[in-house]
Amino acid sequence: MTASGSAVQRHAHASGLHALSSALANLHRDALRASGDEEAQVRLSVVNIVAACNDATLATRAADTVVGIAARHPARALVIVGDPTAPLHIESDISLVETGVGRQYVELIRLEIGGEPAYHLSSIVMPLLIPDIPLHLWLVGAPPLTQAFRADAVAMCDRVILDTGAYDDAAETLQMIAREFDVHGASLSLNDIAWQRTRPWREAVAIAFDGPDVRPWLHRVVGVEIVSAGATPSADAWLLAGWLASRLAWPASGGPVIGVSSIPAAGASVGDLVAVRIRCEHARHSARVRLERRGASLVTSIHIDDGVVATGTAALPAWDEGQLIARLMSEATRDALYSQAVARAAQLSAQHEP
Amino acid sequence: MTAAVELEPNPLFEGLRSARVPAPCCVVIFGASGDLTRRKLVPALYALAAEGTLPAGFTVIGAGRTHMSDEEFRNTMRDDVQRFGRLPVDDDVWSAFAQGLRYVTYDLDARDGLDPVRRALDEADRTRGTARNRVIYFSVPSTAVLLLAERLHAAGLHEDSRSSFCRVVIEKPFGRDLETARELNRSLHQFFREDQIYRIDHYLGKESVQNLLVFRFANGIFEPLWNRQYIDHVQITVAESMGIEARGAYYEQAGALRDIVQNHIMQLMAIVGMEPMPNFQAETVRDEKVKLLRAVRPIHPDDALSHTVRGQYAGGWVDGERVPGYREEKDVAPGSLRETYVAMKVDIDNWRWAGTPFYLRTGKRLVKRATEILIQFRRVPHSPFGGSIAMPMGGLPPDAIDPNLLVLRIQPEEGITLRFSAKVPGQAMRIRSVNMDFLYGSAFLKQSPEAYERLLLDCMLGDATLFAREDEVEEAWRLCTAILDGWRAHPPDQAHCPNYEAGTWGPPEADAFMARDGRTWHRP
Repeated sequence: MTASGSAVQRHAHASGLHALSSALANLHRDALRASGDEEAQVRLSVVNIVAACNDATLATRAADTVVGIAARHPARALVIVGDPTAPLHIESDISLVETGVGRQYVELIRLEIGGEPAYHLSSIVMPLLIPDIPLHLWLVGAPPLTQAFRADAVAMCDRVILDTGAYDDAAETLQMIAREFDVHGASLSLNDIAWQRTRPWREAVAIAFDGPDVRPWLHRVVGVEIVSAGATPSADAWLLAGWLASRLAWPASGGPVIGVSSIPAAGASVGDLVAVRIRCEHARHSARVRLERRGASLVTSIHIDDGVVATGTAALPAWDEGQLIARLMSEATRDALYSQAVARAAQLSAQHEP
Repeated sequence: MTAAVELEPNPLFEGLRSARVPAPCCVVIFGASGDLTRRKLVPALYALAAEGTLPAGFTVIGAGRTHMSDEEFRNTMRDDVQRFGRLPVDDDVWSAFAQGLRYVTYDLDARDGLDPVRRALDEADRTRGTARNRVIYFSVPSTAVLLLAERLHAAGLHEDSRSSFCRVVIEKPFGRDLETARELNRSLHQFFREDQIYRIDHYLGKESVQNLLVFRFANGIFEPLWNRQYIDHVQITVAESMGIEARGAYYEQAGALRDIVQNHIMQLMAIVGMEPMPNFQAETVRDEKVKLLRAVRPIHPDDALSHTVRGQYAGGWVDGERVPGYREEKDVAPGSLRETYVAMKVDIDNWRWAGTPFYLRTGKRLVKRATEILIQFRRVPHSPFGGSIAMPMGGLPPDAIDPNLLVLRIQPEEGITLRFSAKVPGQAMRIRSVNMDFLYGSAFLKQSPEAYERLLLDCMLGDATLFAREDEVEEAWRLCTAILDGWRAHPPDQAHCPNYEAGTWGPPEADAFMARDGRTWHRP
């Protein structure tokens, strides 16, 4: 069993790349022979997932996560731990893991690479990919971004997945990513788990302004306050601010006042969004749209001229990392809305810094 | 025209799933104490609310003839959502949803019998910002539909404007035959415009049915084969293992042809057979479906018996349980001749399908529950493997090679299977059919929304693509009415009714019917 409870149907260990390929083929053959016509296992792959990890602990977590992702996006998953300082070796553990969905299984290959080959991971990864289906690279944890944005890595992958919320300094991380978007332009298919986390909030803000009474206020926003949990504003908070500013084309100066702050919030994890408060004014009238996290719910209230126009409560989904990535993989690889939000978030966070 | 149309597009929605969020509105359910409301409608609305797909201020007014307080209605609905809903009840979400949940009593016999509904709507407009946007769901017996429509009209509750909408959702049956369907449409049009009427067929809300459209029109490899040149015939099966449950009185009036063929099966046939549409707009999709239905060769009542097989189930064994025959069910006449099984052959007179028949069948108390569409391709014109080692007695005739099959499974286990021939490993040239399976649930773990969720949301959004238009309904009735007329003139022989045992694949006549054309039914 994996940590998540998925059943490992077959397993093999191999040393070296050739042995790995043979072991994988043997596992498939054995699986087919062992099952009757009615119960034949199905290998259905729509994507190659490569999870790049800095250490073995992260790799264990990543292996568990990719099995979960593969249940939604059937995949060959490679979890790689590279250590150039270790003695030369290429060791692999290959598993066919039942996803619990129909008769389908995921191929999970955990690779530990030591020595100089760890500098040339693409030469090891490429032969192991299933041809003609996309390659998604997941940078597990908070690896140095300079490696992730090497031109060859960007060219090789159809999608690079990271979590800006995993880095200690969210503002600096977003500013760096904004620069990378400037360098690579449209060729950078970068997907951010933090961006996906903001999705329920973005949807709730969009819905709040969708009613005919509230929509006119969308272009009369004078102030926004976004609050996240923790000691400093999180990547999620900056991204939400950047999204609002970019979608509503607020100018870099002279536009609505945007405040991004953080509080220690009970019931929320560090980095979680806690509240979004939007103030609108026009002539002598005003409107307030408030979204507040209350436990596992997101409560929306809309006031116009101090009268309650509407209130609503929606469940805040408790997506884990695997579910966030799986959702993200359902969307287009290149997300112009994200790159625009990052650009504005980088500007806002730079202005915010002391 | 709706409020949402008049406003500029909301820039915040770009790139977000819930771009499909309707304008604030009120759903009024007439027949709120009924089974459909409890099992399907309110659980579907709750699921939409829980997924954040409904606007703030969204309101549901349950209207029933029995007395109930708001609180009683809310408590009952909560229990039902818990019991029948796709999503578990979340206290916070329920609390907000329940704030918009009201119950009123109405009386169609009184001229002012809809006043409580009107007052509740006005209050919702005033306090919850529903802006006179209304969806009125007719979850009432078919005999009450016209009276309710008339009363709504008389009370002014049918009105819409450039900034508000009023749509009515009507459940099948849409008439009992062509004449009554036309009469129903004519009568409804006295009270509502056609674009206000949403005729719901929950089959069309199923993800797997919508996937049929995607399968056909988003895959370049199948469309060139999708015609008489390559397809031998099509089979559409809607098999049910259950009986008529507690619907004896209804079923005695309806039967399998009216209950399933006229609506669900005709819709599936239209989707399988229609020409590619230029876009996914409601009118263009429905235009193509109607064109296909119009191309169906009429069956003269005198030919009804040669083009169809009727059946009625006797007692038998289903899923390891002894089950009664149709005539032993509650509210069924002991000598009833009502059909619980129909098989029929349909010819479509157009360039795409001429000479490629569609075989349709549906039945109660069959072996298993299965809805599927089978496309049987033509056999290879010549087998080059004749005289092979595997066939020492004189080669391998072309018809020894199984034809390719494409099976589109609608329920359960939604998916697609392609059957093709492969060489059995070994020295001999032995050929065997193998199946390549695609399980919808395996490729997409995401839980599919219930059909009613999709359809209710579509209606609130004013998207009628998955609802039946009046001409679709009438064209489907055109075919079915001729069969009903023929059957009426030639009732089944009491001695041969019932003619199939529960837990089988229907009457033996259905197999003979296919054998006459040199074909066999696929086993789902």
